Amino acid sequence: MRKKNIGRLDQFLRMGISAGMIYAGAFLIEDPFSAWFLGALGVGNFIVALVRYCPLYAVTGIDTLQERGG
Amino acid sequence: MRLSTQLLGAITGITLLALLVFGAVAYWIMTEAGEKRRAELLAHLAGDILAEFLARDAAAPDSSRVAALHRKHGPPGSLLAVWRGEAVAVVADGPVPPGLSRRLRVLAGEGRRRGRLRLRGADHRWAMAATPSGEAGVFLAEPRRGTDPDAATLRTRLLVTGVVILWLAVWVALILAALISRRLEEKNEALRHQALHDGLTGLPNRTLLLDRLAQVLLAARRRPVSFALLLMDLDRFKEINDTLGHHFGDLLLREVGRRIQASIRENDSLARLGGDEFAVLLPDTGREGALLCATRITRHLQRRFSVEGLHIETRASIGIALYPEHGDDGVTLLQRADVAMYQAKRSGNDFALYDPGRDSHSVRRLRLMGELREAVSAGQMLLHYQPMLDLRSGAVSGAEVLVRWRHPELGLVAPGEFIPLAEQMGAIHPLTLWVLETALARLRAWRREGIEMVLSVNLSAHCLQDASLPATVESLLHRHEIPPGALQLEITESALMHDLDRARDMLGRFHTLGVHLAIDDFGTGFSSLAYLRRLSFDELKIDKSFVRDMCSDPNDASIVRAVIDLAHNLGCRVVAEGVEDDRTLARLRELDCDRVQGFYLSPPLAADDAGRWFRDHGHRAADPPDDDGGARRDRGTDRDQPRRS
Repeated sequence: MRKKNIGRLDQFLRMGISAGMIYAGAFLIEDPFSAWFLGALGVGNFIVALVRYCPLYAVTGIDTLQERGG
Repeated sequence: MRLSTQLLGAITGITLLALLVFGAVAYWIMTEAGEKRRAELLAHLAGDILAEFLARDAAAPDSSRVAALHRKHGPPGSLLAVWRGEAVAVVADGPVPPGLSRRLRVLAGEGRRRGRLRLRGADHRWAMAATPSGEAGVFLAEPRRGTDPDAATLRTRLLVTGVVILWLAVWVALILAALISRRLEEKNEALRHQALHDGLTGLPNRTLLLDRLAQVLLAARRRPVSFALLLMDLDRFKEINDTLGHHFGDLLLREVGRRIQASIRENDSLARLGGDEFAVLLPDTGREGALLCATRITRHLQRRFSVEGLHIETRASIGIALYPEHGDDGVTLLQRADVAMYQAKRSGNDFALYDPGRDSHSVRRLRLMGELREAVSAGQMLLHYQPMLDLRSGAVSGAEVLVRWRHPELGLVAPGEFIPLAEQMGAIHPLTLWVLETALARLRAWRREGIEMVLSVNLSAHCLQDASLPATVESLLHRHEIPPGALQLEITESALMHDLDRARDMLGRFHTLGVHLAIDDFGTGFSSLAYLRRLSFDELKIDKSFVRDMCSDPNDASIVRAVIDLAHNLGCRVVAEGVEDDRTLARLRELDCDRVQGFYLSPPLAADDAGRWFRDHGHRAADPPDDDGGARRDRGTDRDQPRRS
């Protein structure tokens, strides 16, 4: 496991957003393409939030864990 | 971070705007296309219904028949009206709006075949089909909302795509912002480093040193501490630079920086102020610590430098200023460390603590430096002449020309004080020319009065660098109609050794010219006798430090004797400087010294007094010369101080 770089607030925001995306993909959207697309992104985002390591943060050097003190 | 936030906001905002505009346009285009398709479908259906009605029913429309047609052809939620002549039958999913027949006639009368209207409080699109005569017709209307299944899918996809694109845009913005701000940060850091550090050694520069000094001073305001500021420069750096090249000098400076760095503690800061000048800030250091550090630096710098295979020895002069003893702001401390450095240089020590007692000196020094250039043209310089006596003939053989600066406010300034300044400032050439010019003019005047003598003019080491000097001297001699033999140029021994090859070349040219040459202050430098032999000079002047004590100090006496023998063996005359009493004079005569000069004979005299003196003593045997008492009175006073006569 690499070093975590997602702070608490960041994690909660991501989890909320991805939960919303998954919910919308599963229940709100009838169009299958849109539903799957949104759902997959939501799942991916949720996993990132769960492990608290964001590859894009690693690339760009952003670290919300350090800034907000975890 | 501010910049990246701005970037983030800007990119997200632009994406949002673009998304909204494009989404709206896309949605509008798609719904327009759907609308058109739907309207055509409706018109088509109305045509079908009319055709079927006309084919089957010849009579007026009845409700059940129309309801059957509506069921068969009408889209969900639609309204169907069929008429023939005056008879109208209306069927709808839901209630039939009142007054529809009348509106139908109006619409039919207008001749339009499709359009929109409000029915039962909702937007409807309608199509109409009628026989050419208009006697029979069909009107079909359906609500616009919710009837196109494609539109709903379109909306969802647009929305989802929009959200995803926005999400991506935020990410792109984040990445871009982070990259750009990081790049910018690096650039800024590099620029800051460049602005605060010296490019050659990588050490902090003056700005950073002043900043650190300010920080230390701030800290010192909160709790009482002491710290020290050391300022140093290399003693012969200019010479090294000139002779071995700047590249070599640069390498040497780097090595010097490394050595100083190695000899200080970790929280001391070393800075290069420019040229060969370095400064060290020692926080939490008192007098003892500062002296210790100076000793350590000196020791490190004394080791031989090895640069590009060449071995170089150099020496630094270190000036030390202490806080709070010597000043409580950065500028003062720096200035006082600078003064201390010059004090170290003058006294020949490796380092010196700032001495407040000698500070007026430095202020004076700066002032003199500022006013020196103007002094020559302002006529503040004047020449004094100190007679020289030939011991064999007892006649006046000549006089040494000494330059004095009569400062309008500071009075007479000694040459020992302003000549080094002139050398430092590069003002020595014009000064030398002025001295030569004035002395030769004076000599010409004396010669007209019948006073035959040799005037001896001192040349600075810097003058030896001026390759045009022999030609200048020649033209001056020519202009003033003075035979070359009446002029003697004195060069100090240390100036000769400073740059021996050039000196030999210069001396050779002067010699060819016929000008006499003398080595001044002999015994104080470190002459190589081998070189001395190859130099073409006529006179050797023994430094007064040996002559002064030769009657009391046997060592000095031996030196004087040795020099006299040496000079005679080399085939030149000897002049003893600084003769102050008759015992010394007698002793020198015993030792076969050729000429003497000193206060016992005469102090340096202003031109008029000198003229008188020469006339009085001119061709007379001059044993104890002084009956006017001036010389005897002068004994024991500071010989560096000029005097008015």
